[in-house]
Amino acid sequence: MTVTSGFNLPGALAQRLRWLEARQAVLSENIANADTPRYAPRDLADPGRGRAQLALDRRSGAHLGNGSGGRFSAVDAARFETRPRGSSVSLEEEMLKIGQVQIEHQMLASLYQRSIARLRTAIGRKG
Amino acid sequence: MTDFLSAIAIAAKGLRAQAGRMRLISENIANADTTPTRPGEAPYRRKIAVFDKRFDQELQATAPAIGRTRRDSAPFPLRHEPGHPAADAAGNVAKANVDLLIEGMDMREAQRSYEANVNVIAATRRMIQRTLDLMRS
Repeated sequence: MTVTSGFNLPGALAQRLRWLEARQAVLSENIANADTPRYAPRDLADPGRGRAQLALDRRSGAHLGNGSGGRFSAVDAARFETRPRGSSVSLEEEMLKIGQVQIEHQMLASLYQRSIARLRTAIGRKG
Repeated sequence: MTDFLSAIAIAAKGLRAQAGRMRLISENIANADTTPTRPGEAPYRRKIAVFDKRFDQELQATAPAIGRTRRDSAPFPLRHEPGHPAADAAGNVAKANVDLLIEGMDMREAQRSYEANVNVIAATRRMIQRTLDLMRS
């Protein structure tokens, strides 16, 4: 087994970073609509959960793959509270999620940097 | 990076909507004591900010916007003031239907939502900065 046939770390990290970015947009939509009547908050489904790591063998472009299609699908978030105005966005909950996104983004960005640095070491360049 | 930029744009729409709401609240508070000058005239009627749910084609997201301003249909409270120039035959003057307590709470709520949107912009900016730092290394 060669290095490249194994788990593609920078690729997976970049995918996760893209997911975080898309999630941030959805969360900011929830917060902006916190006082909009009859607005139901949404969240992004976590692609890392319940999905096989192996890619389907695709012989034709028309086949559906199980890999990352690029777009992440938004799902209705679980609601714990309904505000008096009829919108069920809880600002605290959304801010908590924004915090989580930020922490994970920070962590993944550092990991990404480290993995690139490791590749540089492998090809014999310093720094 | 486009998702980050649209996150900031959506939060900015939220800021604008909340600021418009605060403007209406301040108008209500400023006119809380506005009385008619002649008998039979109506005093100031409270304005209500209504948020419209609009789908923004450009951002591909639901963005709030202040819709047409609605008026509060609550009756005007009457105060007995026979000497007032606008008093009716019974000596009552109609006052504006503005409750300062309600306006104060509404202002608080708008402020809280405004701050949440500001925080979203700050958090997104930090993440953009971090992503740009990746290119530098």
